[in-house]
Parts: sequence; C-alpha cells; structure tokens
Amino acid sequence: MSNQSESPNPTSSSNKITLKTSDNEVFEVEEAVAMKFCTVKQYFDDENNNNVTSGTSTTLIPLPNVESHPLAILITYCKKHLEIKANNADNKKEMEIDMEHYEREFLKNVMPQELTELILAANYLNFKEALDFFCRAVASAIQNKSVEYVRKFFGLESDFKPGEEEKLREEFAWSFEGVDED
Amino acid sequence: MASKLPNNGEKLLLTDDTERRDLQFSHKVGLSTSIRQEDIISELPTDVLSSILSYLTLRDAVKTRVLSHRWTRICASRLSLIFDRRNIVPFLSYPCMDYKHIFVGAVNQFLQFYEGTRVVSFQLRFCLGMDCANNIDQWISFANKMGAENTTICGWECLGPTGRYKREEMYVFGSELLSQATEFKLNCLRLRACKLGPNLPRYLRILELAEVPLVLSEVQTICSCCFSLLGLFLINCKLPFKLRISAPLLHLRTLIIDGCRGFEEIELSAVNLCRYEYYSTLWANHALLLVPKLEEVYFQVSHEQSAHYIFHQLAEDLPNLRMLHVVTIVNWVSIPKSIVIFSKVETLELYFGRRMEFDVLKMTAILRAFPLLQKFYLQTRCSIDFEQGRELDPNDHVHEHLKEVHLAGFYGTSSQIKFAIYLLKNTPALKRLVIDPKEKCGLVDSYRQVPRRERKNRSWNEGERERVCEQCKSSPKMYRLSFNVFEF
Repeated sequence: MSNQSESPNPTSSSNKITLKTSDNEVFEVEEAVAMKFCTVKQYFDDENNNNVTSGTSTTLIPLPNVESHPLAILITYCKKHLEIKANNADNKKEMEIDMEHYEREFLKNVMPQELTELILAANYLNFKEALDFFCRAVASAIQNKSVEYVRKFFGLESDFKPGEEEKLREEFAWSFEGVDED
Repeated sequence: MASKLPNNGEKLLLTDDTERRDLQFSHKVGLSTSIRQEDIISELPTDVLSSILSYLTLRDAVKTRVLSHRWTRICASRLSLIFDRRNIVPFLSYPCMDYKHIFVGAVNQFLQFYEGTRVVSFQLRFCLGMDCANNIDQWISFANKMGAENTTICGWECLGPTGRYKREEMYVFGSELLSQATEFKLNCLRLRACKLGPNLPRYLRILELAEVPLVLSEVQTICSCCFSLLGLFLINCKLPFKLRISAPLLHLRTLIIDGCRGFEEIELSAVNLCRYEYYSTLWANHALLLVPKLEEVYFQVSHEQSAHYIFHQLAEDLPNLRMLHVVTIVNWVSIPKSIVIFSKVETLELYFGRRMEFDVLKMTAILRAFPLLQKFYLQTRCSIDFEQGRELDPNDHVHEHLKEVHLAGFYGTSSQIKFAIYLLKNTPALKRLVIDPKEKCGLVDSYRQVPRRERKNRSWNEGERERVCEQCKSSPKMYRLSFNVFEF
C-alpha cells in the first residue's frame, strides 16, 4: 500500500541496505528496517569499523541462513511495525492496540509451517519483536490441545520406546485432563 | 521449503482467551494434506522452544514433555511463576479445596523440573490452608532463592462462600519460614485469606493484607518488623478494636484501610506518612498523633459522626493537609454551621454517591473554609433541587486562588446553575470550569477510584446544554472570561 509515501521515516534518509538471501535473491531495504535485524546491524557496524572510508558504498550483506520467502514477510512486518510506532509515538496504548490488530490480520495469512520458517529467520536475524510475536502465536495455537494435536501441528513423531510415553503420561496425569477437542 | 503463500484460507489467530482459540487450527490439523508431515519444529533452537513454552500455561508447558525425547529436556524459564487454577488445573470444578492434593502434586512436579534461574514475582492462588503449610513454605523459599521480589499468597480463590477455611485452619505466613536463617529480599508481599505469623520479612516495602484477621500483637509485628515499609494496605480485614499504627521510625508513606471491620479506634503515628485513605461504612475515632507530613487524605463518610470529625477536627489534626477527598454513599444530611478552616488545602474533591439532603448552594459555606483552594471537584446526583427556588445567601466572598472547577453529575437545576454562576463571579483566577452531566472519576487517583466504573452515563438532553450555556452566560462575568474556560 502507500506505506512508504505516507509515512516518511525520519531515520531512513533514503539510505538503503542490500540483503542477499540463501536462494540468491536480493532485497533492498531502508536502513531503519535493516537495523531492526540485529544480525544485520552487527554486520553493518563491524563493516563500518573495519573500513571507515566505505561509508557511502553500498554493502551487500549475505544472509546464508535466510530464504527469500520468510525474509519478504519479515520485511513487511518490520515496515508495518515501524510505521505503527511512528504513528503513535506519543501514545503507547494506542500503539499496542494498532499492533495487536495488525498482528491478528497478519496471522490470517500465515500457515503453521510458515510460522516455523519465520521463527527460524527471525531468530537468525535476531529480530526480537517478531520472534516474540511468533512464539506467542505458536503458544496460542497449541494452548490446551492434546499431545496428538500438537504433534500433528509441529509435524512431530514420537520417538519414545513402547511404554515410555505411557509412563510419562501417568506421571503427569494432571496435565492431560480436560483438553480441548482437536 | 515452501516459497509461496498457500491460499487455502487457513487461518492463524493470536488470542489470549480460551473461547476464541478453537476457531483456528481445529479443522486444519485433521486434514493431513494441508500439513506437511515433516518435523518442522525440530529445526528450532532450544531457547526459542523454551520461549514458546513460556507463553503457555504451566500445565501445557508440562504436557509438552510427552511430545518427544527432545521436549522432555526443554524447560521454560519464567520471570513470574504463577500457580493458580487457570495455570494448573483449569478443568477442576469448585470448591477447589477438594482438589488440593492434585494441585499440590502438580506444583511440586513442575518445580522438580524447573530450571529457571531467576524469578521476579511469585503468585500462589488456590484454596490451601495450614494443612499444606509445608508445601507452601517450600515454594515460597524456592521463589525467594530465585530472587522473587514480589510474592502473592492467596489462600482462597473460590467463587462464592464455599470452601472457606476457618480462621484456625488458614495458612500462617512465615511461621516456620522466617525462623530459618535464610534472608528474605522480598519487596512486596500480598496476602489474602492467610494469617500473619510472629515474623515478617525485614525489607518489605509494600505489604497488602486482604481478608487477613489481625489482632493487636500482629499489628505490632508489622510495625516493629517492617521498618522499611513504604505502603501498608489493609483490605477487608478484621482489625483489633484499637488499631494502633505507631512506629515513629517507620518510613511509611501510604496507608489504606478499605472495608475493614472490628475496630473502633485508629491511632496513627508515622512521621513520614503522606497519604491516608479510609473507606468503611463503620466510623472509627481517629487519633492522628504524629503525622506531620500527612498531606493527602481520602475519607469515606457514612454518618454524622464522620462528617463532624472532618469539619470540626481534621483541620486541627492535620495543619499541613493539601488534598482532601471525601466520598459519601449515604444521604448526606447537613453542612455544619461553622467549619474549621483548612488553611493549606489546595485540592478538594467531594463525591455524593446518593442524594444530598441540602441545597447545592450551601456548598459555598464549605468553600469558604478552604481559603487557598485551587482545584475543586464536586460530584452530585440531584436531578431536582432540595430546596426549590432557594436563593444564594448574600455573600461577596472571593475565592482568590481557585483556578479549576469541575461540576460533575450536573443536571442544570436552578440551584446548580446559580452555583455555577456564583463560581464564575467570585473566582478571579479561574482558568477552567468543566460542567459535565456524567458522573466520573476525579482529578486524583485514589485507591478506590470512585465511582469505580463510570455509571450508565447521562448525557445532555436535547437543548439542555444550550440552555445551561445560555443561563450561565447571562452572568455579566462570563463576557470577560475567555471561551475555553467553559467546558461542557
């Protein structure tokens, strides 16, 4: 949408940073966005420290552990995050409401397995807000569900020997009562 | 990996409440075609998995141990450990007391595997009595070792009167616990439906006791043990006949007594006390002996006695008072003929929760007792004047310092309008006059935000606002006031 044109970000000052994913796609993002990814920021800081004169040249930052698909989603999320923050700079409560609304909408377009990719990418990029948000999303999806449901959700197989699982279930019997229907 | 967004309309939702959560994946997981049967979660590093666990209830977090071998070793660390019904045994019916063995077992099991290194707050809310004291003590000292600064122990969490412990069966805080050598760094302690032992943690800054029966010696324990105490809250407690808070060295700044019973006298000596709130339908004789710094007082007035105290004695007892907040939920009967002058009060708030049985115009007599008043908040609930057609007593008193006036619950009766005009005329420094038909919270935050919630709020009837506005403007003074003084 008209994100960029409507909310000029004062910190960006049209400085662009180029990111290259593991599947060789190149993303050009505003500095403000890239700086939310602590891994990128760290890389950037190190580069600057090593080579002070290269300030103006465009650095290409390789992200060998991130694929283009989750990165694209993370960039969108990050932009929106910054925008909401800028729009409600003086009202924290409003900001939280807007953010919650956006996050709810955001999740409508995300599949469980994508969520894991996103968590992996956010974790690698060290993008804390997104990581927290995705962890919360996973938690809320498996809250009060049966073990079978959670296994299916994660695509997990039980690797217990026969009898082991039963023993555990007996030991923690109180936590298995009254779960939601799958 | 998949690089296209699937568009089969499946949805994720982030919710906190249990009701809505079913919507999301419920149909999805069953459809094996829409879920890839590969282990997607195992790619995640352990600290991310434990971060996910930290958002689950304790019960769900424990349950994940059965997923696979890897999960048995993952443990979420939490900054707040909350042991309550919802977190541990949400499926149990009431009264909780019948299931305490399950609850206690579950908490013990959780703690056995708990690997967190730091806890900021610890909360226990379940119907547990003295019979579980050993376990409770262990949990508290566990949390203490983890550095918990805030601890809440609620010995009763049922709905309704069922399953309450008798006084002698209640958990006694700190009876065994504090006799041990361990140091308690506890900052803030909240106890509900427990009893106090002979000792309290020494470095407590906030102590909140709700439904805790207190006898004389226990109040003395509080005063003598907790020499760093800043705030003491007594909520719905049974207090000794004479409540004596007296320890001149006490750092106590805030004292709140709300809904307590069993006492008839209150004696206060606390050199640093700044704020005192008293809400009760029972009146107690107040002896404010040594409270030189007490500047803010909130009183609930329930009968003539308490009104008499406020208007005849309080100003003498507290010469440094700056803020007075009075709320009444009974029909306030009269305004005394003479009121002792409150020589330093700058803010006055008066709430009439019921009809007042005197005319609002008599309020001018109260205002005269506050020569330095800067802010005045009045809430009434009178749709008709108590004395119809009453005129203002001739009086040319000028309220020199009054800058801000709020008249809430304003119905625009003849007396109310006369009162508003009086204020406009006799307050040369007035910067703001707010006239509001709604009843709402006041200027300052009190412990008991009165009224607690905004009531089904009245708003102006058609034409009423204009009428009130016109009538007020008919006062010649209005023309001299800038328009923004007047807010509706």
